[in-house]
Amino acid sequence: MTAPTTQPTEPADDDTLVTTGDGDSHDTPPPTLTLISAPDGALCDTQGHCTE
Amino acid sequence: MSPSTSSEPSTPATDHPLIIELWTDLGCPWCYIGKHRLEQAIAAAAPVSQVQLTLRSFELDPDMSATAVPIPEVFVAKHGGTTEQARRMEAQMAELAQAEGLPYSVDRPAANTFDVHRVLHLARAHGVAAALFSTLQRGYFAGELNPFDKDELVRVAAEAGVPAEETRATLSGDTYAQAVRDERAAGLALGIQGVPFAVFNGTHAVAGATSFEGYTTAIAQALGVPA
Repeated sequence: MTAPTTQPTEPADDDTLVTTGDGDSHDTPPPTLTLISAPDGALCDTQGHCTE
Repeated sequence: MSPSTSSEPSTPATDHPLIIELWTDLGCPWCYIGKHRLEQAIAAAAPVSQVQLTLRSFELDPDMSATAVPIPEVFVAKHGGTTEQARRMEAQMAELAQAEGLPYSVDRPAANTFDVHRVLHLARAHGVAAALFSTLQRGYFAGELNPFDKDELVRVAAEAGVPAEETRATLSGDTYAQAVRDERAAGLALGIQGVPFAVFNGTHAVAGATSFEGYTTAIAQALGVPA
């Protein structure tokens, strides 16, 4: 399976993103991952910043 | 972590299993708070046929020194500013954690978490990773446990059920090193830009430490039941 990409759904301001795979060599549908919270939520990022 | 339910579930009963993958790092304070809220949401969720929580490694800073130093010094070295500013930020985080009943010390050390992740992979092989992580996380943030001290890490792992000689062998070699790197890479491939990051039944995800209500909604949506 290839790496998924993340893109906003419509409308863009509803805090919902959809992560979809860009397909693979099989006939299976790409995985769908619905991101429920905003990506800029309370987290520690890969730069070591912890923000709310 | 064992599955748990409350006597008054917030969502209707379902026979569907609830499988949660939680990407996390021991050094991340939002992972501490987020996991606590997630556990509360699981406890309040509908009775399900099975609850499975799998911890996924996401080493936040692979370049961090293995030598433990006080948190404020790490902050200043990384982001500039003063140790006083760093302590004020930590104090704000402590206030948030303590408001949820979580002990939090601003004087805890910080260091590279790679070896902790490796030991957690070993613990996973023994089926006790979630329990060990919870113990490490709470003890670390409470300022009562130094997970960067190998003897202490061996002791705590042993108490969780990981044979001490296996932990020592892991720490003295490179066992699970590739597994930790691979899991981080898998997280990055998913689009993870930080932790905590929770995936529910492979269909829904929560980025960051959301509220109890946010996790409850995610669980309900993943189970296909009303929140």
